Amino acid sequence: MREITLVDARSDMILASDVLHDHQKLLLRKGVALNDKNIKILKSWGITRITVNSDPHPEDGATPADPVALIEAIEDRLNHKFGETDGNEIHKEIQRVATQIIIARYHAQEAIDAQ
Amino acid sequence: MHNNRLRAIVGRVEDLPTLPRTVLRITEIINNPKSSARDLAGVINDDQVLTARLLRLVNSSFYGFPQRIATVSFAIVLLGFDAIRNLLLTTSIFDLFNGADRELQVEREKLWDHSLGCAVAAKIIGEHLHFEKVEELFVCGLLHDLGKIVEMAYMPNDYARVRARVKANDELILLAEEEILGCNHADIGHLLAERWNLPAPVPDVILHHHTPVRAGEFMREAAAVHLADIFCRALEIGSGGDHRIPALHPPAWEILELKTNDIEALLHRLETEYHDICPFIQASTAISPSEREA
Ligand SMILES: [Fe+2]
Ligand SMILES: [Fe+2]
Repeated sequence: MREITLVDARSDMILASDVLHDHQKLLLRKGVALNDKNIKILKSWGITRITVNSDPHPEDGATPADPVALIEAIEDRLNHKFGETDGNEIHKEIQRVATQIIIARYHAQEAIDAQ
Repeated sequence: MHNNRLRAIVGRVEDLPTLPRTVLRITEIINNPKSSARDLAGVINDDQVLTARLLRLVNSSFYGFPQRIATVSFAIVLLGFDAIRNLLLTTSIFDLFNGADRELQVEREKLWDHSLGCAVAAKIIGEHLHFEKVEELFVCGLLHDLGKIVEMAYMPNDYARVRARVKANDELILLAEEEILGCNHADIGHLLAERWNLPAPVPDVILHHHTPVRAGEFMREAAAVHLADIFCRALEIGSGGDHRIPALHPPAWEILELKTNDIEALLHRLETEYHDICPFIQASTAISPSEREA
């Protein structure tokens, strides 16, 4: 079970607990699968955070379970986005720091998932 | 850019919605150093949707105030003038991103995240460099890709071709737009900003956010937004519709007089502040249909 912001909610995620408005009105029941429509409705009610089931089979590859593979994937992606930096120091520095921050972001999410 | 295509687009821009009066008044308040909390409360109280949003926000668990806050002026006292001012402008502009077209909804949301990220980044860069009006930079960042919303909402067929080309060639959206439309989102956004009489430097920054050296007296503001755009792409905050990071316009760096050593702290601040502001903005924009009709 992990808590996510509604912005990160995706279709087919399963609610791990009831979503209540103002702690009382039931909007969506635990166990319901999210879809574009009910995500939109939650948004319209001002819901910002929900809890969903953790990926039951993380090793199936949605997020690489192997941290090295994960870091490599992030590095590859940013390498591609930046393209040839032509030794431009500024680009290199932006890319270096951005890579670190994005990796840290994934680690933080993992820590939340593990709880 | 000054070709028939752009003129044809101007024709279509004639059909675009006018900027809500409330937003105009909020921009006036932002631009007037003498404006007070009372002026702001006046604008909010005149607008039921804004009032509902603001009260919902301050009464949300995000703030967790123990007692119920019933008036706009009390909300302003609690949250502070700057926070509210920024919030209102942001959420009013958010409405413009909220079109009916379902197919483009995801893209529009990503563009919104990108825009909000750029607003935060531009403000952070401005603060770092001791710009006088950082709030203005926030607005510039928020609106820099306005032209893309116009394309999504009013030129869906052209925009579909632009998207297809970006995907096929994995190129910058700017290039695809120029090939297909004969102009780009900066030109289109600029037209609309002028039409809406948005205050300086917003229209110029929109027009030159990819080529800040051409922005004349607003070169520094344009360069800040240009760099903010690159920062958000690098940190993968939202998406402006392509998967490439454009090269930094070389004079931008000199205009800003930044040091390579500054980048690390700036990016870390962006990461923190963007994620802090996000739920805040979400809570304030979410509004049920009945309140909207009220
Ligand atoms: Fe742009
Ligand atoms: Fe952008």
